Amino acid sequence: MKRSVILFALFVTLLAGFLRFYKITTNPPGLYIDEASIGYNAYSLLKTGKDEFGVPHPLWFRSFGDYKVPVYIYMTEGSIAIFGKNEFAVRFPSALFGTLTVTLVYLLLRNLFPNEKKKLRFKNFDIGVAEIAAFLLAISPWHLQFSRGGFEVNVGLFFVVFGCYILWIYWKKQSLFFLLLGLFSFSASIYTYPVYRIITPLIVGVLLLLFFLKKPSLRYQVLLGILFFAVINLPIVLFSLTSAGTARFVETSAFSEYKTKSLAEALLTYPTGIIKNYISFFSFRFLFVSGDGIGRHQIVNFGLLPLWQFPFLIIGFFSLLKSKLKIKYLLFIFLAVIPVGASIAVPSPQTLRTLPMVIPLTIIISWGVYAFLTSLKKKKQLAAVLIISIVALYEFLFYLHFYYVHYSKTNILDWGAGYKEVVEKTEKYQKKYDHIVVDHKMGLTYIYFKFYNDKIPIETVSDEWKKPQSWGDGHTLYIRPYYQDEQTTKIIDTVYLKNENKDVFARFWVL
Amino acid sequence: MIRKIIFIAVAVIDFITLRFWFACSHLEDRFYFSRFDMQLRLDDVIHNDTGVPYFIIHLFHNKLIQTVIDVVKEYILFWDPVFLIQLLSFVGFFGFIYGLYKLGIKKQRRKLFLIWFISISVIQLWILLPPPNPFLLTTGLIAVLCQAVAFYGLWQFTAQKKWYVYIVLLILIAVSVLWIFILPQNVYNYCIKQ
Repeated sequence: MKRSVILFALFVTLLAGFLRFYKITTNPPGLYIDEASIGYNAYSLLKTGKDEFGVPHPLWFRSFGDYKVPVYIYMTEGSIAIFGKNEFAVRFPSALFGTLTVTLVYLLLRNLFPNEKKKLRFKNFDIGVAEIAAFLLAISPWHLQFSRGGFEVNVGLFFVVFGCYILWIYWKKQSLFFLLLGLFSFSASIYTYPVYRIITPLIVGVLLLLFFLKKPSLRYQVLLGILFFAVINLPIVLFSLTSAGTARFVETSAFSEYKTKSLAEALLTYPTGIIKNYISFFSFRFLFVSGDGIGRHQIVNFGLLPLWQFPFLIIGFFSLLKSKLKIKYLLFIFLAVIPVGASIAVPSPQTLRTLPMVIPLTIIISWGVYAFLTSLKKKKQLAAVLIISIVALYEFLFYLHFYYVHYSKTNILDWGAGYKEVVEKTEKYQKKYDHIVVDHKMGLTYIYFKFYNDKIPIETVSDEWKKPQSWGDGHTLYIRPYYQDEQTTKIIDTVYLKNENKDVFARFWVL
Repeated sequence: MIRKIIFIAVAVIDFITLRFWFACSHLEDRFYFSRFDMQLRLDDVIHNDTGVPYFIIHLFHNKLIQTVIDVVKEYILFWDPVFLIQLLSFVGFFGFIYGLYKLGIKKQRRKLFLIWFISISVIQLWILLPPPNPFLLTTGLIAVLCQAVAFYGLWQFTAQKKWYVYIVLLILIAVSVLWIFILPQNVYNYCIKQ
């Protein structure tokens, strides 16, 4: 490997790592409920070998009415063993694999776009699609957002990219080992996040079909690979056929939105609904203007892709169509299949389930930047690079300003901020009271108590709850959110949110 | 003969698709960039900038930058595939993309492409300007200019005389017909009914 390649790989990895790890514990502000659940289950596995429900080393983790797939939780078990039970440990696997995805994309694209005739050259340094794409992915708001939270989908994306990279090596070396390793990596994505149950088999199917048709000498190996892929995914296929395995699908299914009375009506309604959902993922409103509007998935009123990339997406798309590169077919097929799984779910469009789209889109945009710059003469090229860099840098700094100054204040409730303080204050009062009761309107508080301090016994109660007379007066600590009608005489403490208004998150009452 | 039948079918679908747009009014309401609440939005954003140096606040939160961002965001929506599918139908959108591609790769047609692009940009900017804008005229002109490229694209596509060309078009026509059933509710997102 050339020295410049190693240096660039190192540079882009460090940049991606810095942007993904910097202040990761405090921003996003708080631990989202799924992160807390992952963290506690991982901790429980580490200490007892069982999940929160006492099941020893499960393959499927029961969680809030459905089941989680296992890879991220077992990874977190490792990071909790190293870093302890805290926010950093829960987010570490996502940030680490998010960083490594950038490096892998660079190495993969170095091989997929090797023969660009008119490389951009600046002071003995060649810049091609691989360099531009890796850099853009490192600073991509979409990828950064999901790398900085404990999102399983982000680790799944790493396994898909790694699978592609290994299968590319297989294409060159034709060794069965690489085929099986690549397919193992793809399978790992399926065991990391549910949406890959649909995306990954489609991508693997396309790649294996390509090998089967283009390399007749490899057909037996490919058939063996299909068998291997089927066998290691058999458990999740069988699980998906059970009611537990389909719980999440039923909960988020787009089909449940439509009330059809007859088969004919269903045949008309379902396809149009799915098509409508599918094209919404390619909407520029979704990609550039507003995203999906969910505060955990983005900074509200920001798109997933920076605005300056819009013309280069258009240029890249048409320029790739025109080019003779065969890889463009795979790129367009991958881009087309990724939203398939998300199209049958609601809400649609949704940023999380289509995170893998960030890779083909970034490659198309990079190709657009590359095609545009190489179409210019040297002097104009330098001027264009300067202008693009200034605009892109400004927009990136604008994004960082919003992320580090605004996001941690405006989206505090999206991330479950406040619960940690509730647990810490409860710790302080624990010894003074015989009973600790939490109002159900506080949400699934129990998981935060388990994650931050599983020694505090709490009871979650409904609106109708009345304190039993046998408990006596002054022995019960009652935690509930802010209500306007509350009488301050019984309130002993308050948890305020760390936003500009210092809003009340919860109050501690003595009953 | 098949080519002519397909073109008639596409023309009918496109006409029905466009009809929905004329059932409502004020396309410009959706796209028109409003400045009246900018000061309020800036005040609201700056509210979170406690402790941030003034030059950074001025650098990121000023009327010029906010105007540029707003206008660019609105402008991008004119090229939104979802908007174009709703304006041109599925098959029309396919023809539009193919037409743009064909116009772009042929050097002899680049001037034609440039004239088309400038014309449509003028109308788009007209819509972005403060109302009142003649809705029928602006929407009609945008639709006609896009339809022209779409039919050019479909003409070029069918000129290949390969079997798969007709399969692709038949699928797209079928999807377009299905789409017409859910179209009105989507158009509602882009224009405000009176």
